[in-house]
Amino acid sequence: MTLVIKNGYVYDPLTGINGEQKDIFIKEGKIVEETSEKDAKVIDVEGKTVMPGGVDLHSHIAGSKINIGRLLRPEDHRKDVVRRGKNTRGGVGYSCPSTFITGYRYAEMGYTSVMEAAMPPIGARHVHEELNDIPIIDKAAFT
Amino acid sequence: MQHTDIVCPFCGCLCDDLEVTIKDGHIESVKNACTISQSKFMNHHENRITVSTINGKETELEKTVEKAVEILASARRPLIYGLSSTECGAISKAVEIAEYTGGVLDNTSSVCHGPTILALQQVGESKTMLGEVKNRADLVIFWGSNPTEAHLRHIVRYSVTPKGMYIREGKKDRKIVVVDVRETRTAKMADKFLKIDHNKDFELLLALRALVRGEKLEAKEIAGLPIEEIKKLAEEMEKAKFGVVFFGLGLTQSDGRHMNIDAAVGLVSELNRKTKFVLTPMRGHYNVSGANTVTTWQTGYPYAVDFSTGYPRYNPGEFTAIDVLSREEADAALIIASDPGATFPKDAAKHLAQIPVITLDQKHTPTTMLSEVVIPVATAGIEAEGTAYRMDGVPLKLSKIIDPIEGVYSDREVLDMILTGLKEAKQ
Repeated sequence: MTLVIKNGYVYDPLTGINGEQKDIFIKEGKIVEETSEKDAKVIDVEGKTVMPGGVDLHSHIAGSKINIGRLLRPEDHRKDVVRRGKNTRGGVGYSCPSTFITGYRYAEMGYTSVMEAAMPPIGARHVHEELNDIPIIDKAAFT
Repeated sequence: MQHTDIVCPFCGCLCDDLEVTIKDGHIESVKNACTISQSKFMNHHENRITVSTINGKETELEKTVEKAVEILASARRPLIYGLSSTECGAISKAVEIAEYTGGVLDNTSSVCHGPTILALQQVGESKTMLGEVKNRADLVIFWGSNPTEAHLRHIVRYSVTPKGMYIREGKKDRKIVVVDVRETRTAKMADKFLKIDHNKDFELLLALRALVRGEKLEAKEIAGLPIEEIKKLAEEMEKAKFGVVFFGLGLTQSDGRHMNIDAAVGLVSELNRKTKFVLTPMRGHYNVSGANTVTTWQTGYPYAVDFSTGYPRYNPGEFTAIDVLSREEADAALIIASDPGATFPKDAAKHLAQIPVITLDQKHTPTTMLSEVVIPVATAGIEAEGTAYRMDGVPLKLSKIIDPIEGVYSDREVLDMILTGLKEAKQ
C-alpha cells in the first residue's frame, strides 16, 4: 500500500530536516522520493509534527521491580486514572503506570520502540508476560 | 511417558522437580512430591465435574456460556472472585471481564495475606528469594506459620535441611526458631519454640525491636514470655549472619493484622542496621502471588479493585469480596478456582446463595452447589499449561501433562468464551 502523509512539519536529524512543511511518501513499508499512484492513501496532518519513531533504549516498563513500584504506590495511582475506552483498556498512570497505559502513553509521545533494561534471568518470564500486555509499541529486554 | 521438572500446582512453594509418569493417558506415579502433592496428582480425576449445568441440569457448554453471559451482562455490580489456584492467563481474562462489566475484582489474598500487602504499602519490605535462604540463612524463624503441615517441602528444599553455598552442613549450620500460640509439628522439630499468648504478636515484635535498638524494658513478661527469653532471642537475631522470618496467617489474621506485619517489618529493618535480615510471607494457594502480580501490572492494584467508574479503584475493606457480599451489594458473581461458599463468613456466604453465581471448578464444592451456572474446567498444571508465581515472586511454567476430559476446557479458554460473548452481546 502507498501512503502520503501531507502537510506535516517534518523533523529528521539524519538528513538535517528541521521543521520543514513537507509531504512524506511511503511505498511498501519504505519512505520514497515521491509517488504518482492515484489510489495512495492520503493523511492530511496539517499543523502536526512528523518525525521518526522514538526509541527509548533504557526504560523500566516491565518485571518485578516496576511491579513492586506499582504495588507500593496506590495513592499515586489515584492522581492519574485512565478510563476504559471503546478500544482501549483502563488503568493508572503517574509514577508507575500499569502496562496498558505504558503502551498508550509511549505511543502518544511518538515512541515506537522501548527497551526494558533490567531483566534478571530468574524473572525473565515475568518481564515477558508484562511486555505482552504493553500495547502498540515494539519492546525488548536486556539482562 | 516420563516427564521431569514438573511444577506442582498446590502450595506457594511451587516445587519444580517432580517426575511424573503417564501411562495410557493417566498419571501412573509421581516422584519427589510431598503427600499433599501426591494426592493432588493421583486423585485429580476423582469427584470431577464432567458436564456443565444450569440450575443443576446438564446443559451443553455453548448454552451454559450464553447463560453466564446473560447473567453478567445484566448485572449492575458483578463480583469476580477467586483466581489463586489457576494460571496467570486465566487471571488476566478475569481482570478484563471485571473491567468490561464494571464489576468488582478480588482474589483470595483478601482473606489471607491481604494485610501483608497493606503493611508493604505503608512501610516497604525487605524481600528475598528462597534460593538465597537455602544458600545463606543461618537463622530461620517461622512466626505463625506451620510448614510441616502446610508447605511440606519448604523445609527440605529451602529453609531447614538443605545444604547451601554458605550453609554447608544443612540443618547443623542453621538455627530454627518457631513462634506460635500452640505447639505445632514445626515447633516440635525446631531448635527453639516460643509459645506466646493469643493476639500478643504485636507487643512481642515491638519489644524485640526495642531490645535490638538497645532500649531497656521495664516489663518482666511480654506475650506470656519472660523478658530473659525475649532478650535471648533478640541477641540471637543480632548475631545471625543472615536471618529470615517466614510468617503465616497466625500473624496476618490475628488481632492487629496489617499492624503486626508493620511491626515485623520494623523489627527486620532495625536488625538490618546490624546484620542482614529479611522476611517472606508463606503464601498458601500456589498462584495467589500470581493473582496479586497480574492484577497489579494490569490495574496498579493487587486485589480489591472496583471498576464501576470505568477506571480501577482500590480499597480493601470496601471492595473486598466479603464486604461486597455482606453489604448485599453484589447482584451476581463469577467464581474462579476457589470455594467462598465453604470458607466465607455466614453473611457473605448467605448473600452469595441468593444471587446468580457462575462457578468454574474441577470438582464439586459447596460453591458449585449454590451456583446457577457451573462450568467444569481443566486442572492448571496437570491438564492445562500457564504461568504461576512462587511465594517469593519467582515465575514458573506449569505444564500440561495429560488431556482434560473431552469437552472440558481450561479456565482461560472458558473465561475467553464468556468475554467474547459479552462483547458480542453489546454489538
